[in-house]
Amino acid sequence: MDTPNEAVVEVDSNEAQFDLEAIFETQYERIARVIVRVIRDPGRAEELAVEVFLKWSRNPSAHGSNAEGWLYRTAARMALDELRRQARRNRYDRLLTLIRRPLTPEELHSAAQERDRVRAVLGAMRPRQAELLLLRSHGLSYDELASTLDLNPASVGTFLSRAQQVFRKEYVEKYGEE
Amino acid sequence: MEKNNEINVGRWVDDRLATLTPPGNWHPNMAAGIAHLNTGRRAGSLWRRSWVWVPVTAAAICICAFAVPATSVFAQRCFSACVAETKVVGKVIWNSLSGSKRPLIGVARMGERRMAPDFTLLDASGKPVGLSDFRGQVVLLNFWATWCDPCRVEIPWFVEFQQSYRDDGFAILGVSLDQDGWKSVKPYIEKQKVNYRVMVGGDEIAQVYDGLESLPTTLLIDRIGRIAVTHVGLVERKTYEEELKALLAER
Repeated sequence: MDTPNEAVVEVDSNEAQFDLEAIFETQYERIARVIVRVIRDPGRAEELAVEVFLKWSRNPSAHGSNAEGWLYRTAARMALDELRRQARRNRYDRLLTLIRRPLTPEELHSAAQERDRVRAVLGAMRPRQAELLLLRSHGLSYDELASTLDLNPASVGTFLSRAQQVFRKEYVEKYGEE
Repeated sequence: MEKNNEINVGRWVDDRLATLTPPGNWHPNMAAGIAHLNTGRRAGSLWRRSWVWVPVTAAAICICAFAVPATSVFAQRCFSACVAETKVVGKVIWNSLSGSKRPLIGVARMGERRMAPDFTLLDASGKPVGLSDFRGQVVLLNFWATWCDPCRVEIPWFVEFQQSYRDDGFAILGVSLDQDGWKSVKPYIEKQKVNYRVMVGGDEIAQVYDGLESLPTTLLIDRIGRIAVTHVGLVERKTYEEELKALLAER
């Protein structure tokens, strides 16, 4: 009585495994690239990228035709979450170092680098807007953005320009004009 | 002009975001990724499986404990202790939620009580009994009938209440609404050895007490003659006891 059921389960999990590995092989590099642009540490970015695929495999509702969009969105979200976590940790570390010793000129210089500024601004924005900007700069078209982020295709442009305004405002507030 | 500005902002933001590039010539390590993926999968499924086993093991232990004669008494005791504890905790939570101003759910607050309409009816020996005669006592006024099954459940409780609380300033009045009056009520109260005052009433008293649409209807009246509790239908004996104790404690 139990045997056929077990067989079905076995087949299902094999199929899922096959799906996961196939999608992993085709998408891993792209997904890892989305993350590595945001996270400074490539090793950590790879870990997070694998985590995205594991999440996907545990979430059957994401297995449809829009799997790619789901992966992109999750990657962007996880990368930004990690960015915020890092920012918190940095604040805490900086607080400790302030007590211990002042920052060296090299540290100040590296903290002032453009890339870090952009990351800091993205981390401070609302997650949805940051995801939109990140995926747009990754080369996704308006239609792709709409299906990836569950937006109305007609309003992607509006959302995008609003997010850009917010980015600029945030950047200028933090670091001044240019 | 505004459009231009928007385009500029867009380009400015794009330029900034374009600085986010992967380290030069970077490629993720596919083999390491697949290895990591497979470890993650195994860990995930193991984790899921272990969570499934927790309740299953707990249920199996319970069943064994109940089935084996040596441990079944202990298991039953544990179970009943758990049930009792849950009830106590539930009661405490309920009391704290419903507010300390109102210690019992059924008892109306002093200011919300209305006077019980007075009446005078004849008892079995033909003597008039008025509600106002019992001012200063807590009165349990029970409307009932001999044909009403739930009423017959309550009457032995009332007999016991009358015995235990008589000396605390407590009286029970039974008003029967039987159509044929004393003819069926008298033999019944004699048989049940009813030790409190029983009268027979009709439509007039039913009207005064809001129609009395269902029986039993039982009112608890405080020492000043105000209705503190109204129960329509059968209520647990414990509820009556708690409520009348609360009323007897009022001064």
